[in-house]
Amino acid sequence: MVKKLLGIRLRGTFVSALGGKDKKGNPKPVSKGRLLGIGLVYAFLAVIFLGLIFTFAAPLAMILVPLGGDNLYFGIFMLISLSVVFIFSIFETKNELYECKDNELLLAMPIRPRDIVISRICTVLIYNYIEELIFMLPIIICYAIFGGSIVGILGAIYVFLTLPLIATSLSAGVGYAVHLISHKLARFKNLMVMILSLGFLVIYFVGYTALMENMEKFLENLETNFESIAENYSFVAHIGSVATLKPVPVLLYTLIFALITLTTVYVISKKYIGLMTATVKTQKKTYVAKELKGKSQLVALTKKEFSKFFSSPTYMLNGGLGFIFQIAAAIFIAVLGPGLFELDASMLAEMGVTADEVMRMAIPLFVSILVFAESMVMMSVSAVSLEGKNLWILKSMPIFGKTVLLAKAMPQIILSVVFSFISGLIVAIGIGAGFVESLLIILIPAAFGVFAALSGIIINVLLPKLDFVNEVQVVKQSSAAFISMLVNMLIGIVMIISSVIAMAIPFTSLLLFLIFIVIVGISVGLYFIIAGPIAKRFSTF
Amino acid sequence: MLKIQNLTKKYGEKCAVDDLTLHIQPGEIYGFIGHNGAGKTTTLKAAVGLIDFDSGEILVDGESVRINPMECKRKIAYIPDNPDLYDFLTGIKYLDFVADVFGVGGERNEKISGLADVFELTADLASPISTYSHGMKQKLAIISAFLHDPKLIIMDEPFVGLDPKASHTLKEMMREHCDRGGAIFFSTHVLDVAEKLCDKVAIIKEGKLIVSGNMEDVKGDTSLESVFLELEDNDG
Repeated sequence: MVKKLLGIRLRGTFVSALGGKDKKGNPKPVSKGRLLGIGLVYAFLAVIFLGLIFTFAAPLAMILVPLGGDNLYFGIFMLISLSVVFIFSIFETKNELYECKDNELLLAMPIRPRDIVISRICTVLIYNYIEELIFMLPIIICYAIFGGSIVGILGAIYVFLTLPLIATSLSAGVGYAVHLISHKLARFKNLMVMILSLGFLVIYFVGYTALMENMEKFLENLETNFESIAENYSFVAHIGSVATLKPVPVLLYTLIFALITLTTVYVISKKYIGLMTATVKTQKKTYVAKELKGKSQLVALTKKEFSKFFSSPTYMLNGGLGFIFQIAAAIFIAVLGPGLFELDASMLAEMGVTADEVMRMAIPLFVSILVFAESMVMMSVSAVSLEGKNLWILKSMPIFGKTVLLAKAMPQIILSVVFSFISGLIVAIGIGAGFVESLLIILIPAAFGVFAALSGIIINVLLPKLDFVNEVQVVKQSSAAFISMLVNMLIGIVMIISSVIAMAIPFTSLLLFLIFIVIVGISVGLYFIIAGPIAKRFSTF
Repeated sequence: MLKIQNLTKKYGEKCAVDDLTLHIQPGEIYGFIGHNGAGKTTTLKAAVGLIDFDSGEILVDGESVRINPMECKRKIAYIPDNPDLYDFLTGIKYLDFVADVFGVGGERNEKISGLADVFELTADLASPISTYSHGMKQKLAIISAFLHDPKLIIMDEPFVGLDPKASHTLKEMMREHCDRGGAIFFSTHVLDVAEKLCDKVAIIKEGKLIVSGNMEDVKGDTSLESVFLELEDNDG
């Protein structure tokens, strides 16, 4: 039964995400071209992440493995990998276990709750294995390159096979707790989930920053003081000794992993029916008639889209997190920016520029950083898919497809303009930019927001996922979300690299203005594509 | 009001609706009957413009659904068999949204409160739709359908989930709507209701029209149920 349930879920997640529709709206099989295209995108993303991990693992392996610090090497990465997979799968597990639309249907059938729970956990587990593979592969390769033993490689494979199970079980346990709390505090559910999610993210970023800061010092001292460092980090080394297949640690680790996994499955299975059938006690709000004023179709649709966005913590977190990054980046630039280019008088004289001029030359880089942070906003790319079973409402109404699609882009456009204004203002004040430059610091990220919102709509109409069973499948796991993230991040990275190269160009404002014009021009083009072929395609849904 | 001419819709090799022709005049309540999978919902969806069709023509008040879908949709209200509404909106916000889309003017407050009172839904309008029962969602879908005074109302199993009082209210509203010159085309499996309520009826089997016409002519001296069962058996 678990196999069947898992098969249904995976078919829903992968196959229908790839399949298209013909001109009459009938499902058609996945084409080889589409499969290849999407496969290449995923492969490209995997290569990027593999590369990132590789650059992180190689320096450590280079020093630790020849010194015999295999345990420490594996211990460090086991802890990092466990934390990353655990934190990023908490809300995914919660959604998968408790918020799937077919929960009631399955519970009404003669299926053991345990089978449902296992199939749900396995769905998340597959994603976690993919994450773990991307994480562990460069670590094992680096280990092998720098003289690692066969035993260590076999042990690392054992860790790869078991660590995602621990992370998934832990995240299922915490997801269970989050679900219980949000059930008790039903009125504040969205707020609470948001706070908890942001809390976990803050923990992650604080941990990551601290790790990066310490890593450099750690590597510097490692060669000279290996013995004392190994002693200080003996706990980490003990954990890592699982990967070098030391019998006692392996036994203990196996026992702990089995205990955590079995306990989680047992407890959640026991409580599952109760959790799914419990009624939420909410105080009924009495309706008081108020004067309702007429609005245009676009305004009404946009308001509806905003309501959808703010009603779903999953959508808010995955779609709008980039806005928080944008503000954080702005504060970072405003606080640290002036200090980043503090050059002493002799160097400035040698370069023949003033400190103000250096700061002015760095403005394109600051703008690009804001754009890069904003590139992680992914609201519109899920907006069409999230219509799901409600699509009949819009299709039966006298609304043009382009109005519907434009309204779906509007929340991201409006929020992008607002957050670009705030973040641009912070940067402009922080670095003491002039009026024209300040205006461009605000306008370019705002224009990029419009571009990203419109391109997101196009991608989503080309790769819709209307038959989702939980919103995570749309906002996080869909092909549209992956491709949109890739396109926007690539643009952000290209802008950062170009702006570093362009620092030698003295006409900063002119350059920024040209960038602004290009983005606006492309956005206008995207609008016409949406109003034409994309709206036509949308009408076939 | 609604002319369906030689409508054919195929799903792959399967012909869901085969050369179907029906005319629904203003003032008529037209019942559409058939077994599960006979092609009722496909026909209704095609008439609303929710799905494309392979051949034939559908005209709403003289306008082609294919050529001028916007004009047709302005004149239509549709209630599906399963009212999947926007769970994240409250009842009143959903009705306000529908009123905005159809351009319902200043009288929207009175209309909403009047219809909500009739279906005893007023007290729940401030609650999110996610907290509604199936019947309450069905009532909300019905209210939203009547909100913009459509000329034609197309309903797929409208009585499913409604309590007896709401069913009675809906039947009265359907009759009043047609008395004012509107038309209603609806599918149902409740043959007693169809017999009492409909002016005309059409019976469809495996996508093909078996019989259609005035209720009295179709059922003759027997009941609609007897006619339906007999036709099903004979054809089978």
